[in-house]
Amino acid sequence: MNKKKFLKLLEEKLNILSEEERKDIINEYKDTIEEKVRHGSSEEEAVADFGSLEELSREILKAYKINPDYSKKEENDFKEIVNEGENLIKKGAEKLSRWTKETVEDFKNSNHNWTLETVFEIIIKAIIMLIALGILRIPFYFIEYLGTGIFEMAFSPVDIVLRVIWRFIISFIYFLTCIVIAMIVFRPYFSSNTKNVKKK
Amino acid sequence: MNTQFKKGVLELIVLLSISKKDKYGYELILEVCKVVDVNDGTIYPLLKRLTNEGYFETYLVESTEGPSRKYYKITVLGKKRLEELISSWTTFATAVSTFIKESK
Repeated sequence: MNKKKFLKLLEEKLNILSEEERKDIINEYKDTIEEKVRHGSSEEEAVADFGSLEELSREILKAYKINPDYSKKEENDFKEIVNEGENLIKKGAEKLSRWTKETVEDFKNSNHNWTLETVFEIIIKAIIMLIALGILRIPFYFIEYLGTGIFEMAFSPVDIVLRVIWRFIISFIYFLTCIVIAMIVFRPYFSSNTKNVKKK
Repeated sequence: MNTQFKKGVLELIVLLSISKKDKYGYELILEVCKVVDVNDGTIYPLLKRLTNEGYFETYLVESTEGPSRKYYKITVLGKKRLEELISSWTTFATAVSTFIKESK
């Protein structure tokens, strides 16, 4: 290790100390290394003379009555937080993938059901719906008839046009109502996911 | 040389060395290593500790050869500590030597 790297690493290890103390210590080591180099050693040799950087920083911190494991603890705390975060993400991903798998499974299974049970369900529901819509026609018809009657009485010559328009409007509303009802009745069958969510 | 002995006696050697003459880091390492072969790295932490405990004072001296050097100087408290250590060491060393002699 060369002087620069050694000093940098040492500084990091000592970051818990005040800046003044830290700078003081780093300077001492720097001066010693430089002195040794002046007397013939290489930077690497001078650094190697100091032994393990880890041991060194521990001893220095102890000189300040600082628990050398404290900075490790902070590291560990930080690591713990990171790990917890990672775990949460993993759990979330796990749940999501499990849910997707189950949904796909259900979908596969429900496709089988689709062919038998569900088909009958659909047919029966369709018949009931048609009857209901048929019944629904009555009030619409009534409104239509009422409207056309009024127009006939009030606007005699032009009423034909009005009547046509009126019929058109009423029929359109009726048509929309039918579609809405059909959607409500048949949507579960075309988005199996919703169905399965409801099951759960 | 035995590591245990070295550790125990290093404080004594450092205090003694500086009490003879004010020294800067490199100088001290040179002298200490003549007496016991220790890792240079352990000397600075020790110097720091002893300074923090009030046994040394430091001052800077401008140098022609490079950056200004920090010199260590023993304090009154440091001298007292040195006396204690020499006394313990002598007692200890004598006891052990005597025991070895008697056991021969």
